[in-house]
Amino acid sequence: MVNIKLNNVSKIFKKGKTEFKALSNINLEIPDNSFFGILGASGAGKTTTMRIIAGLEAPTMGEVLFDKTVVSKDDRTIIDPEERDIGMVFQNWALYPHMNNYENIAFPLKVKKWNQNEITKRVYELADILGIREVLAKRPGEISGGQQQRVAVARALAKNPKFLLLDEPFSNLDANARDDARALVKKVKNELGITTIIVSHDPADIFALAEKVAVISRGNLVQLGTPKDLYDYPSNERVAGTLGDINIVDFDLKEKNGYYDLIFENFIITGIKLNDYNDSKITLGIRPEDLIIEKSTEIDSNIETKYEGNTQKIGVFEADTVNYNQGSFSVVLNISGTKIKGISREPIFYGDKVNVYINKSKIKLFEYASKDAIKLNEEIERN
Amino acid sequence: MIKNKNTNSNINGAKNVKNVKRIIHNIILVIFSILWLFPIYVMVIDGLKSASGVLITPILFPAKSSLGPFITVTTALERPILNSIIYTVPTAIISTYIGAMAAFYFYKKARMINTLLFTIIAIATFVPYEITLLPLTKFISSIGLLNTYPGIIIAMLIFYLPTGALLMSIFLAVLPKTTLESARIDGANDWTIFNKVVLPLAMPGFISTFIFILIESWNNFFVPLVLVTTPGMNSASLALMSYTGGYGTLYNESFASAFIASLIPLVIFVFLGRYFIRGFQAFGTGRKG
Repeated sequence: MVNIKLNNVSKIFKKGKTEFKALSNINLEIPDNSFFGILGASGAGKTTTMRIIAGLEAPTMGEVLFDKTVVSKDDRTIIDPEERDIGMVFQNWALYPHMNNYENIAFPLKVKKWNQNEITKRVYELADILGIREVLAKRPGEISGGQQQRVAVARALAKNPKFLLLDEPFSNLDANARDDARALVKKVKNELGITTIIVSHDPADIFALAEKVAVISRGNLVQLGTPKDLYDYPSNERVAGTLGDINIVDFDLKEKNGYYDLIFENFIITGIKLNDYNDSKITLGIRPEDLIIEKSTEIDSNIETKYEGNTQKIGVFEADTVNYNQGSFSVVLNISGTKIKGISREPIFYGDKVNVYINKSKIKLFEYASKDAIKLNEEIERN
Repeated sequence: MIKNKNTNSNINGAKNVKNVKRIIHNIILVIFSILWLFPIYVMVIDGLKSASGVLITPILFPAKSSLGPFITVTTALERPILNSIIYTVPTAIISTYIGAMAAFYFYKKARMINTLLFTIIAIATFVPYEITLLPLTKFISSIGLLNTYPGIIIAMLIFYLPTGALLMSIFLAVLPKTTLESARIDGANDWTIFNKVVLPLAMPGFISTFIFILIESWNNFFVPLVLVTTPGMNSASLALMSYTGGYGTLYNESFASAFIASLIPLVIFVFLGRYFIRGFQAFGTGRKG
């Protein structure tokens, strides 16, 4: 078990005369026994971060510590990956194609010169946990993707590593196998109590697994927190988008008795309190599930609030495209070319008139110029 | 109905075109096979002729045959062929293995200095043997290995190690990087990674390189010529030349001995040829074996 710490880690890749800064000044602490997620779009630098932790790359500047031991520092790898005692599952699983699955899982133990009986015992123990006992005699090429992934997890865990690194472990699986694999990884993590770091571009992985998550964007660590915090209180527009589907729309501001109305065409949100905001425009983020869409019955169009709490009726719109997705319908409103997506419980068809409600306590406001978050969710709640 | 007929004839037409293509394909293959089998055919039928028969009959047609020439040359070639095996098999194995190690080093570490080293190796592969005549002979005799098995093997290695490194780096280039990284994470050092992961994965390439060097060194005439001083140490390639003497050439025995001397590389190629081809396919398509 180990506490991993990244101090001011930067990574610059050089190819000929062109330089590419993959990471700049990352500070990160991954506590012992946690399930830690690193989330980011492709090319954001998350895999580089993981490779630096694994020792496959050295940080150009900064240092990496395991507990109090410096394992790499300023372009030098002090402790090589083979001595770091870690388990890693690669995106493509990187199994040894010329060995059968038993030999694949046994490989790290053979390298460590365990005796044959201990190796057999350990391999079978892991194969039972992961449900791959019947494929041990086959080669990786002869089994399904889901099974290959389990073999890769078993191999990574075989030598009781200090911690486990998962690099986009589910992205090569189909949707069903992915759900199973996530559940399995969670179970293994709980049973073995091992520090686990998962790198992914898919927020679903993070929500299913991670207790804490770091969002990396263009080589910078932009936010750190629990998945729920980041989902509800993203520090800027990009984090909001990385964590899940969100409508981002620029609104005009209009003051009214100390409160503001947010206006975009006929989409108007009223009664927002803003402190010290001097721009005439503001960027609003609203997740589709916080924009409730119902078939318009015209009669209740006078009722201001139908839903409990802070849900405000916006008005009557026309549905554009509709998609069915796992028990709900995602409805797109086309407001003079800008697409805004909401959720409906009942089937809605193209051209239907719909009522739109917004959950005001869930709206996210960003400064128009910088797209950084404006912290005022408490004010909205009190209002 | 008419429509049906049309589609039928269309299908038939397509089939015909396919058949014609296949026939042309096969004819071309047969022509090439004949071309390539030709030398063996000539060696065999002319090796079976008598010393005078080979001079008076056309080269392409068989004449009165006997196994006489083959029996004569087989006895004479026994020792040189054994010598050649002793020279070439270790040369091929060592050049391929050490060449693969060098290739692994270049694969692992891409640095400026390595690009330079690699270029030097590539150039070394193309150095003509003849210009090394004096330094090579001097070097081998100065370490006291003139006219010995180790001496000739060392001299051969000087020429074939770069070939091994060059060919193996082409084969290693297609290895999946993450598999080797994963071996490092699993705790394996370079030696284990090389032997347990790199070599098995690059086996088709390894065998291709081995065959290539074996055949090249088997046919190498120059190294034994300058480093062998007693007939007992002759290689097969040198022994062959003894049939083309200054006072006349025994053509039937020349043909017979050429056939016998090429048997070993031929047999190896027949048995390992599929790996040879697979290896080259691998680096053509980026597939492994």
